[in-house]
Amino acid sequence: MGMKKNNEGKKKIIGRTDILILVSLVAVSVVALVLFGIMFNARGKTVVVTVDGEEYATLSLDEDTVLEVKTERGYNLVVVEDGKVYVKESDCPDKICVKSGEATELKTVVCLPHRLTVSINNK
Amino acid sequence: MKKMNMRSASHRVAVYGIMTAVAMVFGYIEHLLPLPIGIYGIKAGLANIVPLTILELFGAFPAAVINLVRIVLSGILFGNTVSIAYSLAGGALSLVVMMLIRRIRGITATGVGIVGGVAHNIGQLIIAVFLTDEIRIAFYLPVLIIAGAIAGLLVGVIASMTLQNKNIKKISNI
Repeated sequence: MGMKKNNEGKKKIIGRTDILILVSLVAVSVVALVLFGIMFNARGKTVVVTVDGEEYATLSLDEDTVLEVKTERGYNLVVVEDGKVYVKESDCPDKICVKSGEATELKTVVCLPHRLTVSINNK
Repeated sequence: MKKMNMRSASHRVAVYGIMTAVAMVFGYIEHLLPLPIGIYGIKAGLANIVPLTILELFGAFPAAVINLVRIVLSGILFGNTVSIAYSLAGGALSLVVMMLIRRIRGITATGVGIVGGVAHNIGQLIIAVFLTDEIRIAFYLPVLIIAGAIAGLLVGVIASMTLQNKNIKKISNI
């Protein structure tokens, strides 16, 4: 569009407005992350596993357990170990739940193909 | 806008078809080589170079149609209904926001890409909250905004460079 007129008067690749937008988006997010960190500092005690939005199981973070979650969508192995919880195995295609590592108060581990979430409750 | 419709309909069909194919290839490459980060929604989003470039070259309607065709075809070939829902939510929100944001004075295609990347992730997060019924996923928002902004920066710079290519200008003069 209109590029015929001035082939040499090319547009900039990146301008001051772009950088301003980038910096403000990142700044707001970093502030939000810090605030979340302060808000959810309390130690988590229970692990809540949901499937399809329904509560599937509640586990204590204090005792080591292994929970096999078998649904019609697939299989996940949830492991509680040393006050940490993570998904050890899954037969989902992307394995993002396994790669996500341990769940924290702020980080819910999700297996979207199986509609499974593993989160830590503050209660 | 009007005068360039004179070239020929077949020329336009060919250009749009090539663009769709390029977007599908980008999407497929990323499907084959995902970033080893392991957080939902984090990828470079190379396929979004195409809708952004088309938005700048031809306007919103062709960008929307090409993106829709790309998402549905890629979904049928490599994905499933859930992945189509995610791509549609991200693609649609991103395109609408990019359409609005590009009217801002002083913004280049790079800035449009940054905002588009962020909007894409927000659209996908909304779908994720619906599908899992787990509102706490929303706490990912800051992470997804940062990731979307960085991915969008990459996409935007590539789109900007593409837009300056003389051959692209020639091809797009339809």
